[in-house]
Amino acid sequence: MSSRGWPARAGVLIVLACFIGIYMVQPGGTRLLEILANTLNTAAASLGAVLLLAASTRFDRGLVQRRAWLLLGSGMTLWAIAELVWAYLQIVIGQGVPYPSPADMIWSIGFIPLILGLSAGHRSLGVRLSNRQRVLTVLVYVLLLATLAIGLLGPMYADLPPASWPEAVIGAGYLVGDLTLAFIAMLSLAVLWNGLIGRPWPPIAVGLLLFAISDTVFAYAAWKGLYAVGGNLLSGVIDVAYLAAYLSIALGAYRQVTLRLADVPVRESFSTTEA
Amino acid sequence: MTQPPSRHTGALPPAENADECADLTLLFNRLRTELRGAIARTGGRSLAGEFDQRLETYAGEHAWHTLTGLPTLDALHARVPDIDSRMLLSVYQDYSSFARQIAGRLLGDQLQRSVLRSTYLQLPPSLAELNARCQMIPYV
Repeated sequence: MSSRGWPARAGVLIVLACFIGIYMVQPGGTRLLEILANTLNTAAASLGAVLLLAASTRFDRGLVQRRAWLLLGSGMTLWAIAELVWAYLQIVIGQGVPYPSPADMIWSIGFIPLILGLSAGHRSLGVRLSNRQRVLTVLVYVLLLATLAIGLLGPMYADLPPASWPEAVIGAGYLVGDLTLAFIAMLSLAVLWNGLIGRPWPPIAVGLLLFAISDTVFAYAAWKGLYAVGGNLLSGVIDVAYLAAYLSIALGAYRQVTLRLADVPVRESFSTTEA
Repeated sequence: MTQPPSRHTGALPPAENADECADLTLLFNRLRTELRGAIARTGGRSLAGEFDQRLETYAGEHAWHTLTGLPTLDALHARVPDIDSRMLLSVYQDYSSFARQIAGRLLGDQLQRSVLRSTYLQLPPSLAELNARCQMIPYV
């Protein structure tokens, strides 16, 4: 791993540690915490969007990877806008924010460029996965989907009144969308894991998995009426996981922007017999 | 531009030696171009530029100019070295091993294998026959 990348990793950890500390102590009360959480989420999503768009400029025009990173940047821009709308609703309207809200519509639309970007990027690698890799990634995807759907969404939506169906559809949509994103990111990671160009993918895949978990837990908390910033441990887990997810994706994009050959050791003394 | 004096001292007749050198150069250039293209497509143009630069540096440090009379590897696009083809083969094998090593670090094993395999399969018959002898582009 590159030693050049440590300030970015340390920065992410420091921001998260400070946020957790403030979340626990809550200086200024829940109102201030709410403003801070929303500001940080919007800032992290915006940072991720800018870095993903910047990553696209490393590729020549016409290349699939350029389009792929551009789509990822567009999707993240929509998510940053959704964060802004959500922040406005939560801070101005307060506890009465509807679910699904207008922000949920924007988040949902954001999935389209994100999924298109990730799949275009993966397909452009032109590598067929081995059977073992394919089985492993599908297994992880199905297991996570089944665990979250059966363990959380199933019981939640089993006796849902018809009026609450939009809530169920959005909750299930987030779960499937997030897991699909994480699944495609894992496929790229499986191909590139031991190459320099694979370095952006671990944090991106982790970020997307964190979204899958936190979105599902949020749907559960909203269903139970438990979600309130700073109100309980469950809300804390959701808020920290969201911020960690955005920062993780921003870190992955930063790695893509700053990839340098100097980051990998290459043995200069060389034998002609080496394959 | 004046042609440098021939450094050919080998066993093959000059015409055959020149043909062999030309084919070896084509093969080496094919490998470089394909690896560079894959790096540019998946990692970006600056990484591909760094790949070129690293290979040029390696060649500069490993007697490229002294052995071939050419200033840089890029000069191969304009001129074929006129030296003993066996010596040229050994130079290209060394440099191509280095190029594959760097590309492997950049692309990862699986993607590099895929690039090498597709390059190998797309070689025209004359270069495929030469490659079978010198293994510059291995089928991995």
